[in-house]
Amino acid sequence: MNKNEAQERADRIRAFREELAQAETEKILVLTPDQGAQLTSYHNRLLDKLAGDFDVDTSGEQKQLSMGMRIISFLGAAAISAAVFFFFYRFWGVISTPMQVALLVAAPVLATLGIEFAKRRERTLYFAAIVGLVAFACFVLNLSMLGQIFNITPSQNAFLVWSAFAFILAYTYGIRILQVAGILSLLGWLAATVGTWKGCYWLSFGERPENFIIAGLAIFGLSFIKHKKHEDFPRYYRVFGLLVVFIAVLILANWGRISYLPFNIKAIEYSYQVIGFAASGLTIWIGIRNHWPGTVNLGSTFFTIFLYTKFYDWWWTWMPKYLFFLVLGLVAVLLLFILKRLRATSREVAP
Amino acid sequence: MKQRGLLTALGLLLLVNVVVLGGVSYNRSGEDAVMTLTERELPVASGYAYQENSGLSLRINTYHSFYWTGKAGNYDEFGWLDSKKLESLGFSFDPRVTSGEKNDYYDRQLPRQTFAVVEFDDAAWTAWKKILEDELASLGQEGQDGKKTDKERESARHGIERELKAGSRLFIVDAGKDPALLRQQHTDRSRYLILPATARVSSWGGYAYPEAKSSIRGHISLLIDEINVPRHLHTLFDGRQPQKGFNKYPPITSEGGPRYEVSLRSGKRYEPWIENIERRQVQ
Repeated sequence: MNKNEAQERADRIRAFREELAQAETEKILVLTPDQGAQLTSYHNRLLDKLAGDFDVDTSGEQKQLSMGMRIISFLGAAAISAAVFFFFYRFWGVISTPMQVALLVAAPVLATLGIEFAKRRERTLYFAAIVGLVAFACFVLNLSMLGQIFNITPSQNAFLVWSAFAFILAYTYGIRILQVAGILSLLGWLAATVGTWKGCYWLSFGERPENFIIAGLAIFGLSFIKHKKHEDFPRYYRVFGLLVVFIAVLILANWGRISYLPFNIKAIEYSYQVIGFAASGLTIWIGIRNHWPGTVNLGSTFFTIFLYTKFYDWWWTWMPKYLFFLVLGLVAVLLLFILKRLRATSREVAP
Repeated sequence: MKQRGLLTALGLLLLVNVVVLGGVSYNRSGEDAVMTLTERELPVASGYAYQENSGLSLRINTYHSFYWTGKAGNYDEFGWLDSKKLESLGFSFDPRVTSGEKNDYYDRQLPRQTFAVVEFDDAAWTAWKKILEDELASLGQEGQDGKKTDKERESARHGIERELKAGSRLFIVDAGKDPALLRQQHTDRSRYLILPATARVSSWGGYAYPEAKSSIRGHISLLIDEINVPRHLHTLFDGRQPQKGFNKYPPITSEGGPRYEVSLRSGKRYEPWIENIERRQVQ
């Protein structure tokens, strides 16, 4: 059993207890005092074991606190990473080159060892996640500053090694924030590399959103790799991969001039508008079919954005503003009806 | 498993650093160019030596189009970058593209990685100096013709004199994909520096003014345009407030002239570094 499975079990016990209490109140099912005591004792023992082995949340309050702690650990990690950057910039001018190199190499090594240290002292990994993101930031600082100190020609391969480093740590310790760091670095490398296929200089990769469509699809593809140990990781590949694809399509649907396609700009924009609608519809369908709520939400959000963008193009200038917003509101209501219908259909289909 | 992951991450960290530092060592194991430049060519880069950033870098100054109201404003420092040269760098030219389509066709072509030849104090500087001296000479005539007020002429004269006496003598004069071939064409290693760069092509006139004659223009930007100054060479710059000292335009002769001389080298990977910085005698 892994931590996710343990958390699911604890959630089921909590839900079962609430439902049983309700059934007892309504006199549907009343356990004898012995049965009640036996069941409570069994569940308590089980929850203690799960909490002891996996540090799971055993109550609603604990769950809410855990979410708060995750946000705080991310903010803390971002702040400490910024502190490391600014600290180095503030003092690097007063130390010799060998010392600069020694510090730049030592910082990520020590921070990486720090993850193991934090992990051994706290199983929830909040502190390990902070140290992990700091280790990643130190490695980014390491390579970028070596480039600056020795006047090295920039290379996109830095993104590849940063992503490899983040993924190794993410999979070793099960730290999601490092998985996200790895995904973003890999996206940068893939988009830059795709950009160089047409012979352009890699740092211009941001000028052609199509580079990100290919990179995003590649990241989305990673979600199909079986993750026995880290079951929640594919969700992040899916969401980040598709998010990048949709943003790129949205940009091209409104700004065809920056496309690779050698066609008329309006034709490019119309094509990407059609692609945007089709892709968001397909995403909703795939999400419903595979029970991926995050994917469904992403598809719905972008379908609405594509629709609203089109409405803006068509009606903003000639329609009175009150009417324009009324139409948007009515369309939202219509979309709600459609989604509600879909929801009801999936309930009928589900066993 | 955890131990193995940790060791792999540490191994990757160390391996990448070894590769990067090995590359630096390889670059510096040979010299492609050795040059002695001054503050005119290598002024202190902005954003350095401030409270939040104690580092110090020198900027490779190849910028010359300073005076936009005069004839020198029309000077195209990349005039040599014609369509044949741009094609050799990987850009496409289509004779069927009409004047109105030029802007889209050329501006949509992305930058290409290339190598630039940076010339120091030679033919390009002589030609630029001649343009400036001619302009200086014509200022008197423009005053007599009433084309410029005394104040405008004084301002122009000041700008031209400053460029002549304190402006950079570095010019990008050639570019190509093969640095070894460029070195064969520009053999003087104390006068020609080869640096990694990017080339871009653009069109002006055609898009906004379809009836006007379109022109295609190339542009080269250095990829390494700032060079780090190692700590042991900071002495000259220590104790000075950047905004009052070295971040300003280099002083002209009457103000003492350039304050330092830099021994610049570039290596096997065409990456430059500063070997030494010496204070110049005030003239």
